[in-house]
Amino acid sequence: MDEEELPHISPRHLRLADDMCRRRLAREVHSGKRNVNRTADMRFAVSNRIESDARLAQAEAGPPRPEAFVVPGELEPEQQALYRAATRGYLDAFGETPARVVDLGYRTLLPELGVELSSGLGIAAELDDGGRELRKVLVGARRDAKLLDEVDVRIALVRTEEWAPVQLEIVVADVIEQRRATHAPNVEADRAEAHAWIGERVAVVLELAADARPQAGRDCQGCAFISGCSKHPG
Amino acid sequence: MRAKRLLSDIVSLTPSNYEDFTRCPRLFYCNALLGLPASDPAPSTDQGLLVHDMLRKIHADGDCYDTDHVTDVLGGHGFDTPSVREMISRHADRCPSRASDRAAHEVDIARFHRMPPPMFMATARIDAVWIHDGIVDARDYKTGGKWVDAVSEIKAAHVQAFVLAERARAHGYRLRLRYEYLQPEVDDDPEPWELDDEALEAVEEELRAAVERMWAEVEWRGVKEVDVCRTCRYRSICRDSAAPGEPAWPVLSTDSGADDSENRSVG
Repeated sequence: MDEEELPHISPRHLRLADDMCRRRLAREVHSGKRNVNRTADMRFAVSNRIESDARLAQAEAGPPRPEAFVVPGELEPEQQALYRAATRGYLDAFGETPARVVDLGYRTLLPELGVELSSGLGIAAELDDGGRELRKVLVGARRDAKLLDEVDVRIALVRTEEWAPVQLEIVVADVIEQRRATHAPNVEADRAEAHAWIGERVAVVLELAADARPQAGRDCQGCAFISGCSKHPG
Repeated sequence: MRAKRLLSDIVSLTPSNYEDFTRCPRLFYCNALLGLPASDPAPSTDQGLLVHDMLRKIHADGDCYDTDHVTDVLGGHGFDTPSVREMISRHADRCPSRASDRAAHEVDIARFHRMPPPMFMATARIDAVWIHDGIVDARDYKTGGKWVDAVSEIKAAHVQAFVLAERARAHGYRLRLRYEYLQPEVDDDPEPWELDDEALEAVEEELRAAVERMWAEVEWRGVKEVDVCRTCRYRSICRDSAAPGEPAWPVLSTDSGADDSENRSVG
């Protein structure tokens, strides 16, 4: 199968496919970003920049270099205030941990399922003692939001299989709200369970996507596939 | 920063983000477009969410005027307190369920505007919709203070009316939008809004014109008025704030080191 044509599965699909508009689901899974209405992309400007600078700060082994965090001049004053606070929070959370950050990419091919799993994994840090630490950085999430759930853990386990074959620690830090959660899975057992669960969910997602009937509702907000939707002839 | 880098091809309108835009363009900009977390505390919504949830559960398999049923539902969820009970009772006094053929609760509705440009997609969650006497009687439950005398004066209601209108018209019903204030301190609800075709067309044009203004925005200038700014959730960091200060973000209130009190594992 041509890799370009593989269905794209996201964490959102794994979590919410049952309640999603099937037409949107089908388009997201099978169409990628071709022929879509452009959606806004500034909502993640600060968190993307913090993550990018955090990678730069530990591109070489050692503790993160604070000088890598440079307030982005192109951002708005309010975003800059948030960036400064987030930098402080990041260094509070990870400033004492020597490591080297590596890039694991945005997609992992799952040939046995015939799909690509796409997700922002976070920051993959190789610690001085050889340990593998996956850092998920949140920049002011809702206070009642769960920092880490079972779906996050399963995706992390499957996507880090080559990079962290025997040990993995997942650290989630909301660098604004000062909330933190850590989880050290039993890599062998939990990874096997994660593969099985994702396999089952992917089958469900593909089945629902095959239906492709539109359903107008909350999912229409932010949908990139409104053009041609029979629910919105306009 | 130009609007075209910020807005989707099809602009998303919701009751709350339209209310923000009409209150202060900078508030809409910070919240809806930049997605910034609030820098200043806002009133808690916990009680409001709880009452909404209890009303949905009460109506799911019973009636709000059946006190035994209400007691069972509230007690079963551990929320049988005098204040919650009072609000449910105030709702029951105004609930049209006895006369209604059909009802739905917490309904997500979307409606697309294509022409004339610019395009927008309006979505809204309606707390309750009752069908009776040829009317779609849509309700929005409120647990805060009342600031206006008529629903038509509430900008969020304009988006709600727009999304509801198409369905009402398709079934030959008239549309009435009512805000139910459940706090005992509020004596009367604002005057409900019953919209005819002409009013609905005016609402659509109003929303279209607002989206057109969004596309024309370059500066996203704030209103810079003390009365507006002092309760804004971005008042500390807003470029145009008339009430600037220090953000209330926890990370700025500690010397160093993350608070480990919430550390926990999954499973």
